[in-house]
Formats: sequence, C-alpha cells, structure tokens
Amino acid sequence: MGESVTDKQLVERVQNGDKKAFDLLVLKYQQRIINLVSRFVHNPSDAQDITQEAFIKAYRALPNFRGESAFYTWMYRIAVNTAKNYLAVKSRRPLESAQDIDDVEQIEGDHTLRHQETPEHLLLRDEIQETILNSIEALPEDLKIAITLREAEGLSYEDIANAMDCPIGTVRSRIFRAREAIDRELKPLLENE
Amino acid sequence: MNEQKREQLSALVDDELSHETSSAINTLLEDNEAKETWTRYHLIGDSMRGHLPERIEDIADNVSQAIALQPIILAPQKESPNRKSPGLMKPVMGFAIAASVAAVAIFNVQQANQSPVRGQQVIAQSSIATTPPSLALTPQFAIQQKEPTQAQQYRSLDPRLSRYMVNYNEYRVNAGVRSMPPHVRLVANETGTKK
Repeated sequence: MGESVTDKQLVERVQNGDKKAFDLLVLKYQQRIINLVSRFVHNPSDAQDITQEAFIKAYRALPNFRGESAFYTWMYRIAVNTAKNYLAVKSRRPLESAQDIDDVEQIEGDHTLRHQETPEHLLLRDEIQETILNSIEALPEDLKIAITLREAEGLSYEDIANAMDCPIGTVRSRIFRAREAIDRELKPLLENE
Repeated sequence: MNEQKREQLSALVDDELSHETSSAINTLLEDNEAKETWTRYHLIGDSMRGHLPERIEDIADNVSQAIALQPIILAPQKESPNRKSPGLMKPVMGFAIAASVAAVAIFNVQQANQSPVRGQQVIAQSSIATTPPSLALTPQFAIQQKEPTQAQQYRSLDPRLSRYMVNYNEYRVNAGVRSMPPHVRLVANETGTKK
C-alpha cells in the first residue's frame, strides 16, 4: 500500500497536538480494523474493544511514528499485536479455532469465522451491502465503471482516465456522482439504525 | 456543504487532492456533516472491497473520548528540506565559535598584562614553560621566560589557552582548516604531548 498524502497530513496534525485529526483516521479505518481483528477474535464485542484499544495505543505511539511505512500498515501491526496479546492473556491459546494466526492474517474479506453474531447486526451489515450493490447496479455505465475501478480495483484517477479514455477531471466528477448516488440510499439506512 | 466541497471531499477520500488536501482537511475538521459524509464514503469503499465486519458500529466516539483523557502529543518536527542541514553548518559554526573564543582569550591576556605585549607574543610566551629546547625558540622568548612575575601570569592563563588550542587543533584537522600560524601549532602540540 502506497503512502497516503491525506493520512500523512492527518498524522502530522496529530503529532502537532490536534486530537481531532485522529478522529478522521479512526473514522476512515475503523471498519477495516474491526474486520481484521474479527479474524482473531470471534466475539464481535471483543473485536470492537480490541480495535478501540489498538487505536488508543496507536495514538499514544504516534510521536514515535516517523512515516517510514504507511499509517495503515503501522496500524495493522498494532491491531494484530493487540489481538494476539488479548488471546494470549485470555486463554494462552493463539486462536479459538485450529486455524493458525499467520494463515488468518492472509485472509482478505473471509467470512468463514462468522460466529456469535446477533441477527440484527447481521441484518444491518447485509442490508448495507445490498443497498450499496443495488445502488451501484442502478448507476449509469460510466459512473459504475469509474467507481468500481477506483474502489474495487484501487486504480488512481490517472489510470482510470487512461482506461476510460477521458480527462482526470471527468474521472473525479464521475466518481463523486457515483458516491453521491450510493450515499443517497445509504444515509437513511444508517440514520434509522 | 455545497457540491464543490463534497466533490473535493470525494477526491480527498481517494487521496487525489494534492495541493488542496490541507484546506479539505480543515473543512472536514470543522464540519460535522462533512465528517459524516467522510465516514459513509469510506464505508462504501470498505463494502465494495469486502472489508466490512459482521457488526457495523461506529467506535470513533469511544476512541475520541478515551483520547480526550490522554495528554496532547507533540512529536519532534522533521527537518524541512528547505533548511540547511546542521551537519553542513556544524563545521562553519564551530570555526566561528573557535575564532571568537581565541579573540576573547587574547584580549583577556592583554588586559591582564597591562603591558604592551602583543597577542601573538603572549601565546608564544605561554608556550615557553611547556616547550622543549629542541623546538627552536627565539632568544627573546628565552629571556622572557626568566622573568618570574610574567611567567606566573602566563602559567595561570596557560591551561585555558592550552585547552582551547588542543580543541581547536583537533577541530582544524577534522575540518581541514589550513593557514594556522606556526606558533599556535607549537603551543597546541606541546600541551598535547605533555599530557
């Protein structure tokens, strides 16, 4: 993962005493980190507690963060170590299942460790995913391609512009319009929660 | 938040703003609606990449409250690329300091003497006590060594000057500084030898 300019600036602001800037990093990465921790800890409440602890540890350690790796890479290691420590303290067993920790770290988006979820939360997650997928399906073709290349494939605006044979400004506009359309459906769903 | 700001926010999510990044972050920090939009835009991305956890909950408030209790962190500033490196400035600054100390020391000797002895003579004379005969002194210096009052004064000044000269000579060699008067080398070398 390349170094994010936005993350770098946010980290610098936190290092200069701006605590609010750290909120933006939490808002950005919280779901991804909870998902990561959930591969180690099957109880969702524990996963959230560990994620919170990991973010607090990261905040405390930020003065020592020199940007030699991307913020997410650094945060990833803190979260994994926090989860491992939790497991070591709790049961002295690396995992509740037979799966090795290192194998688990390789799994991206795996849902086989689904346990102990309350139906309401599963419903919300599924509802969010379904809403987003339906919104994408309903998009005009050029917006659908632009947002998919960006979010699913991780291409830069320049690469998308080359792929779609259009100016970078058009790519920026298409991605924004796609997000707006998806967000119009997503926002009420989250507000009702 | 108007449409232009929202489009800017969308580009910020993608890390594609470059020079506008700072102002977009300022907007984000000041505007709660923008912050909520930032969260949802990232949620959309996480969903499309299959990064959503089983339970979708916002932990940011809890983390924020916990961090509010933490002391404000202040990390050391990184070196700006426009500033000159201290490594490059160090020899120049060292030379300037050494030259200043030398000037002050010579001035002090002159004041203490209240005699018309020149600075170079003082330095040379101060070396008499520690210089072996093989190092070719002029007769004038040998005569002055025999005067007890002046010799005592110089001996009392000698350790300070010697320390300075040793330090300066070490600096001079490391920094490659040339054109030091011969009598200065004599004093420094001899003091070092005796120690």
